[in-house]
Amino acid sequence: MPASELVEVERILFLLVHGVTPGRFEAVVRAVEAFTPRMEVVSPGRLMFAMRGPARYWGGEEELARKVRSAVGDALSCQIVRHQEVEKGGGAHRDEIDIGPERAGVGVAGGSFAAELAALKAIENGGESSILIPESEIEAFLAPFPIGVLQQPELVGVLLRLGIETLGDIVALGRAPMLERFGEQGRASWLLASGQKAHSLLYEVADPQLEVVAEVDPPAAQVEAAAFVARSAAERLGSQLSRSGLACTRLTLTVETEHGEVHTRCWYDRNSFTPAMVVDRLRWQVEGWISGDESNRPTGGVALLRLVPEEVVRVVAAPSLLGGSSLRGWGGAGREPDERASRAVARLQGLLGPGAVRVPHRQGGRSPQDEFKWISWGQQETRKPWAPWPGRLPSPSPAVIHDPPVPTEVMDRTGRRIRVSARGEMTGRPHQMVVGEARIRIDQWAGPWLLDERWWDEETRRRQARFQFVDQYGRAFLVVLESGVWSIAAAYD
Amino acid sequence: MFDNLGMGVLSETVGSDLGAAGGSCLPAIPETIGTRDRPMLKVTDALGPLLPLGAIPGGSVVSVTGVGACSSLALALVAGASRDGAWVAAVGMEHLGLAAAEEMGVCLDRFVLVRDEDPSRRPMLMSTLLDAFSLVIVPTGPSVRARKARTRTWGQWMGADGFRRVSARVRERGSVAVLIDGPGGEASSLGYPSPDRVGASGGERGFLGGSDLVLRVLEASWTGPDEGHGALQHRQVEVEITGRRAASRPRRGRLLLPGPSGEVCLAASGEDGADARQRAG
Repeated sequence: MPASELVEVERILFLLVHGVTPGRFEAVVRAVEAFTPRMEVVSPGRLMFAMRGPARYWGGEEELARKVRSAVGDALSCQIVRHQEVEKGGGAHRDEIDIGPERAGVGVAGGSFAAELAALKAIENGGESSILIPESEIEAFLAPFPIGVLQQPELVGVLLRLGIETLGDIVALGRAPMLERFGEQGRASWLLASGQKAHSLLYEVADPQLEVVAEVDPPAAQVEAAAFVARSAAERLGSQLSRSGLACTRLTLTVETEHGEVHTRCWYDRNSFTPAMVVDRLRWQVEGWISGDESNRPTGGVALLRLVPEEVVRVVAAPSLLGGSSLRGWGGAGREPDERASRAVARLQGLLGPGAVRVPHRQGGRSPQDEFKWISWGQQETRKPWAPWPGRLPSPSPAVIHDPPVPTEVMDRTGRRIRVSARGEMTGRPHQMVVGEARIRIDQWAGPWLLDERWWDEETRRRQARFQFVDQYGRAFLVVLESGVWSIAAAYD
Repeated sequence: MFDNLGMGVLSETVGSDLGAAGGSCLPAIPETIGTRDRPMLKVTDALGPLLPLGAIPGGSVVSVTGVGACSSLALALVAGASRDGAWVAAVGMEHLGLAAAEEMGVCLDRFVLVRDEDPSRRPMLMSTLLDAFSLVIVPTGPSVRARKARTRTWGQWMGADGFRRVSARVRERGSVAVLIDGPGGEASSLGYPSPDRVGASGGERGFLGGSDLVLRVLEASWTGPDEGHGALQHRQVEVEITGRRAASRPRRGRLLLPGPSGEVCLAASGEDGADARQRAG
């Protein structure tokens, strides 16, 4: 498939509706569909389309924006709640038109990032007018926005600490420093902030053979049952794509009922879809369909799902600036060793599956096996701020962790098993450890360190006595007694 | 050819004399004289004096073996380059203690673990990794998992034709393979081989002899635990470095692994942990 770099000064119309439910939004989507066939729903309340063709047809950008805004207003005002108040004594009526909590705004600008912000501004201004930003004014328009709109929490956190608060500040910093200091993420953010380019992704039209069709048998009367099938279909699609080193940024989801009714929606996410995201969208789509326009509602259960990737992106992972890595296709040139590493990882994952390559994730805990876990490269987990946990064993930490722990017996000089009371009193001094056939003489020892975790919950309570034992060869072990059973939890290899 | 990120470039000339037989005195740090077209991977200050070229030459196979502390020593060995920006991949080392890796100075942001389940994929795994990562760590010691699954260990694979492939690839790409050959890993508490048996198994497999650098832990002793009181603090290890070419003359050194800072540091001759603590504090 030919790859073409998206020319990102494309004029985009972005429609933002705050406070709308998927059902209500369905009516809005139908209304906008009248203006252009190729429209993308980002999420309930957010949709966009490229202006160029439709604007020509409908009489120019301003005219089209006005028409869209008014059509949306009509669609939303379908359900007007009318209050009647009877005033005492006067008998006068008063109609109160409550058009619901939704507020809509239309923004037009070069690129979806700026267009969405323009739509946001339109809502703030009262929502009756649309906001169109000419190319020449885009940098000035974007400058005062806070950097939070970039939706890159880690980068934003760092920038805030450096005193950079607005998009204008980022632009003032300069493209080269942003690239140098923050890598590809920094460069892309600078481009966004200056209104020049939204992405440097390489988009490709997807191979039609990549579509996934899933039958729902028996037909699902509940959304959840359909969601369940959608999830495995999405996972299938995801692994097919990742095998070719691709991720999907635009997906057409078709839902068919047992009576042959069909509902199709095109979803877009610049950061590419995960199975969980696909399931969310299926839910929105079905909810919207069920609660939308009466003449169009489904009459049976969901019998078929079709997932068609419309647009895919080459996955070139770049490590995020504060560690961990993300499979977001930032593309372009990053640091060469980082690029090389990500390409190799993408290749290995393609050949061996997504779990084949993992990276450390700090999660905190009191035992060596709890402090860190391995997560798949590309998996996003929230990073918790790390602070040493009370009750944690002192460093140095063991280099080898036995999971599950290795059963052992710890005995005193007379050969009797050592027991430890809840207060840490021992029935003897550790002399020997038996592991399988081997007898290990304990030359040095320290402990016990008592652990009583979740003492309030009988089921998950964990009480341990932990020791460090050193054998005659200078090999040290972390040995644990729990519920009367000894085991080697780790080795200080 | 690799770019120089993460690697310094040092000359091949070693500016110091090992000293007489007696072995355990530490040589002076070699001077940097000019450059040659050969990438070197930096190591931490403590290890520099022990290595013949003061750094790890790209294109090497390094084996870490001995009575124990092999995992820690391997981590300490890669820490310098890792902090400098190099990427490290570890294969089949799910048991690795990440807190220990971090304490030794490894940058966890550039550290990945690769699953090793299918022995038939090993050649592909190794060539993909050695192409892209500066350092690739492989456990070649006894493996409980391999024993249970009745598959070849990495060590056995290396002993057959694996070693030849790995050597060829590292030389081509300038990367470094670090083989942890000791009784570490999951086997360090199970099937507990005694130290005198350990050296033999490595030699039997033959690849220790073929490694460019061999770091052998001769002795290890901990200070800290005291009849229940205290805790593990410092470990003194005596390490012998041998290998090929520049490394063929054996040198020995004493290290604290870990030392007072948590990382590896040099132990002055005859010093033990207590002295180091005093020296540091």
